[in-house]
Amino acid sequence: MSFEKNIRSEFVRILGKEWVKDDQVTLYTYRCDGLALYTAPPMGVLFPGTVQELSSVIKLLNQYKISFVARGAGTGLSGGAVPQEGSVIIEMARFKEVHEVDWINRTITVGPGVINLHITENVHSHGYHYAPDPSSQKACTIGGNVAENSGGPHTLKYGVTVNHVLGIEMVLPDGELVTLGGKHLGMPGPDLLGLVTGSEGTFGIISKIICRLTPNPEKAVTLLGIYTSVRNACESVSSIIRHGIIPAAMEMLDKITISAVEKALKPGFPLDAEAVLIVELDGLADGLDAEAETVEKLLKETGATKVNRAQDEAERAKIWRARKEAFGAIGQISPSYYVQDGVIPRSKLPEVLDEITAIGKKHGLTVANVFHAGDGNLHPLILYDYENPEEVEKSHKIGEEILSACIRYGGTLSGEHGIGIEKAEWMSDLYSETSLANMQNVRVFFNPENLLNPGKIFPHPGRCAESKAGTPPPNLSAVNKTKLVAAKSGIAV
Amino acid sequence: MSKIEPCSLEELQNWVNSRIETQVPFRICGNGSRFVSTISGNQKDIPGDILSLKKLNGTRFFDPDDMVVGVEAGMSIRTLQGMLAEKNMVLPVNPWFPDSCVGSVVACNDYGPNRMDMGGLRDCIIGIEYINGKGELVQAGGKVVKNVSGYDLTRMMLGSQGGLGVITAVNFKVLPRPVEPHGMFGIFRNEAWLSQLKELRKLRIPLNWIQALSTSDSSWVLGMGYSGNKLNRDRIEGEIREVFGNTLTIQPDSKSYSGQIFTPGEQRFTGFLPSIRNVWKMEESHFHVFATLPTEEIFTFPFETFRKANFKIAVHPTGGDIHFMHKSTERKEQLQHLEKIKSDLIHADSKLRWVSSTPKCSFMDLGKFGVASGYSLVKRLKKHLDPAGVFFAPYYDLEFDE
Repeated sequence: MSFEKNIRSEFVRILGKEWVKDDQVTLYTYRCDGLALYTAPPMGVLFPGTVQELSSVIKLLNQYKISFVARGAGTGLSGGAVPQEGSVIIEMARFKEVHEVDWINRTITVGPGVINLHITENVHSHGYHYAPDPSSQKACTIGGNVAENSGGPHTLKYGVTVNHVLGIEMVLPDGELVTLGGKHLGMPGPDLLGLVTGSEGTFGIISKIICRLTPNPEKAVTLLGIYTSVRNACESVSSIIRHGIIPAAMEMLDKITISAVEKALKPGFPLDAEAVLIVELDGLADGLDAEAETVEKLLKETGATKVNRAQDEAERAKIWRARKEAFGAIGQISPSYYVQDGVIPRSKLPEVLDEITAIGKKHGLTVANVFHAGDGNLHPLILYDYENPEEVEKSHKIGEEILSACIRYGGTLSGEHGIGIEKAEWMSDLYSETSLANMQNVRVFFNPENLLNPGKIFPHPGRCAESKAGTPPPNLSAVNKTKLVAAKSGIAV
Repeated sequence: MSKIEPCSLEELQNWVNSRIETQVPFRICGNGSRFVSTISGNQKDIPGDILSLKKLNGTRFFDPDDMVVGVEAGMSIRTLQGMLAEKNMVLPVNPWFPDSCVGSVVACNDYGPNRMDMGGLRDCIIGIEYINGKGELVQAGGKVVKNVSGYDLTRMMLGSQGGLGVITAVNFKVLPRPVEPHGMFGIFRNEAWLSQLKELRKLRIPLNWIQALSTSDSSWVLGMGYSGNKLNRDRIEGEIREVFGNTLTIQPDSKSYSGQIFTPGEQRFTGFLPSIRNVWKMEESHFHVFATLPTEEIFTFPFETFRKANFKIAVHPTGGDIHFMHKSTERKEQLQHLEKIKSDLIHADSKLRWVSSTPKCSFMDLGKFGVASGYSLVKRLKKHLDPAGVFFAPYYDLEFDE
């Protein structure tokens, strides 16, 4: 598949030949995102460089009724940037300008193609950072972060993307340019900025973002609790919160993950531990050590056999590297893995983790766990061999049963990866048909012909009666389900 | 005029459906704490029917270990905060009135001095239930603190001012109450505190709130709140003294300052406006407009002119808002005040809202200052989601060149 000649020439007229691609290598490259579970080649890929170009190509796509998908760095883990067959991908990588840093209002205005970590690198020496820190922050773009409402380890204290985006400029599916929000969060009227954040690129394509800058903490203390029982580690998490302390981060790694990161990164985690809990406190230097002592005491009281404290920045960085690159490290012990992103009430962590282990055992596959313990956001990693069709099938079943457990315990399907294609079929287990139809009705307002990123978030019509009311969701069967190769992509969360 | 107070969700839904069927608009009020504010003055075609949710005030769930709570929309903020306080927790938002119900606080997106440190409602709302324009009872979000499953309709309803549906229940993320909250307070004869605050801000110390209030003798009381262990507080107090000198008084912030007008402590969680109004002897019929603006605008705003013109002013400098009050009750005079404030707002993102009853002026007088960017999109969204036009809300009826 490639552009029809007359359409191609119109795109070339707007963008120039260099920025219109439909060669086989390009189509292969853009057939999937960070979750290679689903692949579908696009019709072609467009690389607009200005908002005028973006609006013009969108108007043209709208005129020809060609569906299209925005894409940042392609690190998403729910198939959110996978094109329906025949969709055009609009690659936003050229929107990488830092438009303005406003120190008084503590904002930075950037293009959606700016890499998450680069925002912090731009302002860090002035004493600020951009708080949401998905583990893919070295690669993922801020546009993708807004589309998915990304999180990260430090969102326990600082919040997710929606808490740090103050304004956006966006092109609607008919080419209209709108701005939402501004340089503060107190705007009157319905919070459409919050609505668009996390809408997975189905409402419009974002062309500019105003982000909130957060003062750097004066000091951070990183503790590593070591446990002979996952249940005890979970109890430590609850104990700290119950004590009225909200750490900057609380992250847990289980025994399997510990062995993987030790093999790959050698952070010095004890191989005989059943779990380690990373607790980071930050803030003013004065008083922080006293708070750290309180936390250390709580960790020991709830079953930590040992608590190590990072003695310097190098030790702290080593611990965080082990956490942030844990997914990649799993590649050392398994040919592939399939990661889930369910959220449960934090107090249910022990029961749900036991159940996840049992589900894995029942199907004969190992499930590793590395997750945001502080906010109950699980990341079970189902280990399997993608060359083994039976294991592929089992991994699907395990994933389904884990998500089912999350819903049963009062949780949700995704905490930060989004629904995308991957979890769309599960939405009708989470919401009533009426509530899903209500969401679809909002989608119909922004994206009436479903040209923008079709096939995402909502279940196939067979599972969601509402789609009869609006434009029918796309046919998922058009998406080629292929073997799982996510582990090979080296994408971390 | 008739007032309807359903006792059950079913009764409520049936009544709303009857309105949709007959396309008869109605007004929504919770406990009526500020009900008249958006419908007074020159607003035309005000519906006669009023829907009150005060009898739908139950608790859906409260899980202190998970720091989440879900309540029906008619529960008052005072009741909710009381329930949370029993478990040493708090909903860290600044409602304006203690008797406002949860649905109203969400629909109006209240906020105040806490916003700079603890965030606003948009930072703690995690789930919502409402009756939409088709008369259906729908849910969005959930009971967990992190959730990207589907569209975030919780935030769409936040600030919707009753125009997109009838909010019936809300779920919140809550926080442990601040540890040992304290405040530093001082009296200023002029606006020197503004430049000092600007200097203090450069130090990036973690304050919970800042509030400056003009006093009856045309001076200012400035208060800054903070919390934490003793070492932490000592450091913060030291930094503040570096900038302000030794003129400020330190005290636990649960008490008022010198028995005067400054009572920021607990009231910042349960409705901070009545205490301010009482001291200033302001009534609901008096002029009271609220500006929400970027920090930069606050540091450059000509407060002195307003103070000398007998305005009473409450400023939350880095929370990003200013409350202007004046004892004028006539429309002509109120409009003059409004135009004066508008002319002094320079930043494009500075906006205005009415807070209380102003019989002579209304929301419609705010013009473009009363709406956020993307307003034409919001108006179209309202028509799409409320095709029968039953959810009366003047916010969506403003006419001006955007």
